[in-house]
Amino acid sequence: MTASAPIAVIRTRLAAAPASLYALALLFLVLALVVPRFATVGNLTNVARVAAILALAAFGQAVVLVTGGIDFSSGSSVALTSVVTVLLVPSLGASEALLAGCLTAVAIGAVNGSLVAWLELPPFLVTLGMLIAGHGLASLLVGGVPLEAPASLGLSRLSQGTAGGLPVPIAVAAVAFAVFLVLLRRTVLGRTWYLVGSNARAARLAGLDVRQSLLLAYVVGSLFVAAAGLILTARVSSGQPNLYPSLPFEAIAACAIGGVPLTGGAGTPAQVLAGVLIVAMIQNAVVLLNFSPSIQLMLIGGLTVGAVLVQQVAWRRPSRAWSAS
Amino acid sequence: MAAAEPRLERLVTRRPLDYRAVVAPVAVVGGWAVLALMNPYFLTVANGLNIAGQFGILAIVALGELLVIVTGGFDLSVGSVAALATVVGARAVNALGPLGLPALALVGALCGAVNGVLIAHFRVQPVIATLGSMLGARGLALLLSDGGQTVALRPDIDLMPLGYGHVAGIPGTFLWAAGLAVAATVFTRRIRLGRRLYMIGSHAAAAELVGVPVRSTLVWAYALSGLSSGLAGLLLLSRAGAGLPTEGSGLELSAIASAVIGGAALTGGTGSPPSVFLGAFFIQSLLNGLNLSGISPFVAELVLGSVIVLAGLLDFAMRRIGDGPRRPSWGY
Repeated sequence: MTASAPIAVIRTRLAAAPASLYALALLFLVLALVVPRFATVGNLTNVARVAAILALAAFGQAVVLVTGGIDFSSGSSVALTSVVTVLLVPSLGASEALLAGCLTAVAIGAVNGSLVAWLELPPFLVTLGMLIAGHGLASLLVGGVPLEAPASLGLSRLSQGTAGGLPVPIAVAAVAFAVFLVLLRRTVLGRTWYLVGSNARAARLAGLDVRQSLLLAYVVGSLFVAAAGLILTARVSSGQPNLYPSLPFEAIAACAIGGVPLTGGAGTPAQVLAGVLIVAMIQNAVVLLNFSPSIQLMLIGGLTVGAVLVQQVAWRRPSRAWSAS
Repeated sequence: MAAAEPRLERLVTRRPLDYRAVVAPVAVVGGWAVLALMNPYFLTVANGLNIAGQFGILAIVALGELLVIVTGGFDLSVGSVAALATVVGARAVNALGPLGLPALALVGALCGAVNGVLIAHFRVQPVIATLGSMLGARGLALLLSDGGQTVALRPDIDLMPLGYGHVAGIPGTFLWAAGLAVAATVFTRRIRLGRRLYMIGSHAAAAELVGVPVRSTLVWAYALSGLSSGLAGLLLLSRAGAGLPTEGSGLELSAIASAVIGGAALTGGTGSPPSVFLGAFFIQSLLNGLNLSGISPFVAELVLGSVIVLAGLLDFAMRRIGDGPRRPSWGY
């Protein structure tokens, strides 16, 4: 009896764990067995470095997804962050420039959030518009070519340095995950997002300020994206208008693969993290196996649709009738 | 008693001003006025024909996009699918000669049908399904072209007349697009399948209750959108003389913007092909005019992005004014 109690606890814990965690573990095992040089410390650190940037973007994406929205603008937000930061270093100094870069991303988030919350515009339209306009603006600011960062910025610390024994990008992502976890699980704001995402009207009738919480979701999401933008800037050590245009798509794919439904109101931080790691490991394996990058696109695209398909079929057996949604 | 009848009739026949139909003509006239002031060359016959020649591709994609938007969904994959169609089409034409041309339409329709089945039968959200096929089609296009090389047509095959030909001085691509606009108008106003798209977009559950086969109709809508991407790919292929695996990114956004400026509601249920045709004309005029005035392409991007958001604002305003109490489904 005494021995079986902890086992029972473990068993319930395991049953409660999201399916994407099992998929992650399985994928890791398969890749470790099949792909040469995959399960080495050096390579796994590399995977974690890449995953750190995607993770930051995915946390930001997930916050918005939970409210029932979607954010495509992060692809240009990171570019604007990097361009603005590098442009402002000579006149403002390093730390102020970094702050200004972050504020640019937050400003985009605030515009997105205001348009979605107060004018009730469809999130996908608003953020797609911002994706294009932001790219135009970032290119315009630097004339379409990358602008090299001055060495005085000390950016290399952000990408090459270590903090607490971990490479800085990984450490930043770890801290961001803790914030993300507490935010979604333990704060009133985080719980409000879930309510708004599952039924905005009911949330309003329950006395919640839906508009304000939506605005905050896009702003908080853009803060995570800003962090990703700064690390990316450090990695390329320049202001790049074409920094990571596919970032929002990969972030959405990671969330979907992790099991966060795009209909809003559900999804856990663990699922997001699992999705990010799955995407990062696949990207890494494709490179190690010397496959063409086009295979990578197809794999991620297929996995995204496949993951949602599995969720639909396995957990929410499509009802025969079209319920009013 | 009899006196009540004419009044009732008047009530039924007198329709309020359709705000949605007004936007596109106003946008075109206003846009042309501004662009003509910016550059005197803009308002010449030569440039008008130039725009007409360029905008066929966007117009065709936008008409397909409209059919999907009317059902309350949207299609992000159109640009990638057009690119994939050019690559497959170039290979098919090189192998089979002109007999390979239907391959473009086939590839487009097939990609669209896959989207439709995922969305209608498996209830995958349109964002995810079409995002997945956007990535997948792009990957496949790159794969079939050795990682993004253009696939040149055989030298003995000349598709230029298709892409650059003129009929009585009017660019052929314009005529293609105009013909499709007429077909789409008839389809959405007179054909049963076309009418059903509007029923689904207005209220899918109600449509099903009155006997509309919602699933197969949705598959048709996405397949037709894919088909129009394939036809746009045909024009791309014939203009470039090569399969272009990296072409068409951003086309989906211009197409959605054209549809919204053409008065299609993003909540589904409304939208008319002639207006969307005008909407596409507006977007292409804008890009052409900015280009003519020597303004950086980055400003054009900035303007296009703003136009998309503005189109959304317009949609919001029209929901408020024109459609009365009708609120978006996520209303709060």
